[in-house]
Amino acid sequence: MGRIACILVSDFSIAALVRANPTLEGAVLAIADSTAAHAELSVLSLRARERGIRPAMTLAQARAISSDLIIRARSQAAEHSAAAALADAAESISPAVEVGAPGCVWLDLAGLGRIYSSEEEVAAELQRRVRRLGMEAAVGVAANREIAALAARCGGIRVIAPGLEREFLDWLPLDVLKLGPTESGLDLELTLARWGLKRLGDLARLDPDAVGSRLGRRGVELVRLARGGDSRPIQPRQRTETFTESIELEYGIETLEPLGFMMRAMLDRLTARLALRGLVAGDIILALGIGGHRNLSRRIAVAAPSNDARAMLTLINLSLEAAPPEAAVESIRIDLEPRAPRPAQNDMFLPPAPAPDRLETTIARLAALCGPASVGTLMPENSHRPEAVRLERFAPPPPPPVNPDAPEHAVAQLVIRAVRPAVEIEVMCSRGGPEFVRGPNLGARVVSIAGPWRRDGEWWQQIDPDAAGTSAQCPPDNNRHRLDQHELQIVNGHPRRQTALALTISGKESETSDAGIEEALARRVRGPGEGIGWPGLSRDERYADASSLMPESPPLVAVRDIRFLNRSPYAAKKTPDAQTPREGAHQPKSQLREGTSARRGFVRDYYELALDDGGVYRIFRDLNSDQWFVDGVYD
Amino acid sequence: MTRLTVNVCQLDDAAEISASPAIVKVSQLPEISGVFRGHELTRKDRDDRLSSGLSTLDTILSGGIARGRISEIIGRAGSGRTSLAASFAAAATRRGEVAAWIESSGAFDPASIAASGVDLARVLWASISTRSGVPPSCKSFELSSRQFESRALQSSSRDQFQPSPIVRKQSALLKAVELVLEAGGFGLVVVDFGDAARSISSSAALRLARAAERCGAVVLMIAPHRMCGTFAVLSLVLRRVEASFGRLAPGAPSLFDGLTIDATVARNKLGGRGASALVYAMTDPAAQFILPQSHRRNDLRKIHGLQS
Repeated sequence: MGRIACILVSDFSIAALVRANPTLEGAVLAIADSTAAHAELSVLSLRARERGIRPAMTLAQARAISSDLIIRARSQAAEHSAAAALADAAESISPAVEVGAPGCVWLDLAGLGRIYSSEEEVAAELQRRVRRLGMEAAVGVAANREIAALAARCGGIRVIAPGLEREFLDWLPLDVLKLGPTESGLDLELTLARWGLKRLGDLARLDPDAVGSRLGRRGVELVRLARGGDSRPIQPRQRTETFTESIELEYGIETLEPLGFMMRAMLDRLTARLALRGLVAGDIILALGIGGHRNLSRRIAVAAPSNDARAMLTLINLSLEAAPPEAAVESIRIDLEPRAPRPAQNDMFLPPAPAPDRLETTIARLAALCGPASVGTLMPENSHRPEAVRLERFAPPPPPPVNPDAPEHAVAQLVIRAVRPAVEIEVMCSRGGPEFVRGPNLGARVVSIAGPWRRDGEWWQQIDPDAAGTSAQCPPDNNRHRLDQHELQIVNGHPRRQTALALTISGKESETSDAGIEEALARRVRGPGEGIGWPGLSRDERYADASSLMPESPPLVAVRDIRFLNRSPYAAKKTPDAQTPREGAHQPKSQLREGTSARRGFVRDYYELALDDGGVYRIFRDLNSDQWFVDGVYD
Repeated sequence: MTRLTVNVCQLDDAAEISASPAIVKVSQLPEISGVFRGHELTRKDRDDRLSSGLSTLDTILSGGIARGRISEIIGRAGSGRTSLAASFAAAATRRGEVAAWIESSGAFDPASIAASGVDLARVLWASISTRSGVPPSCKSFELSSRQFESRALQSSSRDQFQPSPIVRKQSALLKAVELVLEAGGFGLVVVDFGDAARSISSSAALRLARAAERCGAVVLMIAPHRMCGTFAVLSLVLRRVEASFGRLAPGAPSLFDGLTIDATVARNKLGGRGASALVYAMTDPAAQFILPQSHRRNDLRKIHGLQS
């Protein structure tokens, strides 16, 4: 014969509310549909019943008895979370768990004899685990579900030994069954009382057929229950994919700090459930309900699964700071994907390394402190531009084998301190070489010089003017694309004065400032009737239109190429990678981030200059803009 | 513990250990040269040092810089301080340790750092410089009493009491260092204060020193002047002696060869104060033939004023 345990949380709605809001513990609490004076109380806490408040009292009546009565509405979200937590507590003991009515869970105790010495011990353990999840439960153990549930309704821990079910049922009063009206509206409790039946034993002695003819199918089931008859076996519930906690807020939260308080409590409850099951939290799925019945859902990746609620909260806060909700948050739902705990045992013979969970927490905190784009592993980018870097996620590989016989070096590798972004300087040249350097915090005579060393690259992205001939061969989409990038540059806050439009007119290059582009086009482009008119078109469209008009222009003003130059060589030398930055790419300064549509690559002459201020600097001359920059100090 | 004792004792028997990979692994660790009890393996007062891999530098540092302590490399920009810090980072990552490089100046150049032998994948980089502001939680992190008093004297206006951007950035930098040290497991934490650094207060320095001791990591600070005062166990002052420019042949273009650095131990609680040495930091260390003739004659090992 199988053995079934039933976990029962009485006043489950109250218990779920208290679990979601532990400050309500011990309060005179009642649940009502509204806070109107005539609203009836449906569920009461133990303290409220002790004060003499009873269900179905109106709110005014209850307040007259106890002025400190707290009224709350039933929270479906809290009850769902509490029910799931109760099932988790049962599943941490046995794999076969069936969820019954809210607050009632059955579990099959088959095979637990090898772990626990007695059924009382199992019941006590179940009670302890439910208490860890913030609820108080009664546990009953019996031969079938119904008797176990009846045993649990008696409160505390009650184990019905095999063969003693009838003895237990015989003395059990009919009130325990909490019989409601039947489908036909018959009040069973009242009917049985009229028959003179007070205990289940009285009911068991009746003829089932006779009871069935009077009370219908429900009467037959009652007699079978009173006789301790066998019922269906447990139907195990399907294992959940995620662990969920949700809460409905009484008012919208608009700031991050109170939201963090709420989420911290939810994460604590979730991690307690996970810990009970021997699991750790993986990725986080956060769903926020905001005004207008809208839901914002986001997935927050967790590289090192752990049960550290503080670290998870940091990750969530970072995500919310990066993309805050549009409106006040009215409900919160957090789903945690369970993961098997990963052993973090370090090798005894290898140097210590940060524990993965603590490292993840630390990186999250550093990201909050420095910014997400300033923490990680900084690597040189695969580019000809020496300043190109990319940021990768910090994930140290396993340590290499240690070679104790590694030779010592006599000479160190010279390292350069990058000046990021490169600072424009003035260089006075004499006899073809730099003689004096002046710039921000810099002004010194050149003592020694090495160079120039030419670096050029990304020329392969250049549109060959000879191949293009005129802009007729330049695809309009290309022009449009460039103009879009130009617009992006302005949006990013780049000063317009640094932008110039270069026109190659009849083989002669000329530049004009951004502000004078339209005038320049008006002056130099004489299309058939268009000129500078372009009514109804935006400025970008006018530019694109201008380039498309070029072939129809007189040969004297044929424009062969339109490009946008930037006074900053960083921006002017953007690589395609930088134009569409890969995820995690590091762009330390805005100038590195901002792009223009230069298509001619970069050409730079690099010098190493020892100045009489004591430093050795790496400077370069950008041949496209004919400007000088310092981009590093040898240190 | 008993098992370890047996294994280590077997190390003496060379004939038996040759075939055992586990014991060979033990023998590869220079630190485990004897039998330790468990708590002794984590003792803080053990003379455990991180070598730079540079013979001249390690000589004046008596083998390297101490773990669990704060050490400072002091010098102005161009004195070679970043190159020497990179040497220590290279040595740490070569041993399989994880390092952190936290800076306030945005001067970390991964290409040249990697060229010095640092395994960048084992270096956690964090920069305060690219953050426009400091989070409110850090704004009141640290403001030394002296700075506070001097500001109070300057003006009675309330906004004058707000710490300057440099102080705020430095406070955030120290906060980041503490976070890294709290995480544990890092063998080396390089703190680059940049060129506009202010000495940190005693309380912050004490906090850092204790965190370093708990973590057992080498905390190496790069700054233009002493930052931690008495809480730093080592202050290595660098001075650029010369920058070498040369030509491979007459008429050939001039090349920048590197720097000659004078490293002086200005302070060392563990002994060896006053020792100095010439350290060479070259753009191409393999090409040592380009060193000045005088340096080659001294076989690159000339050590001045070494005190026992």
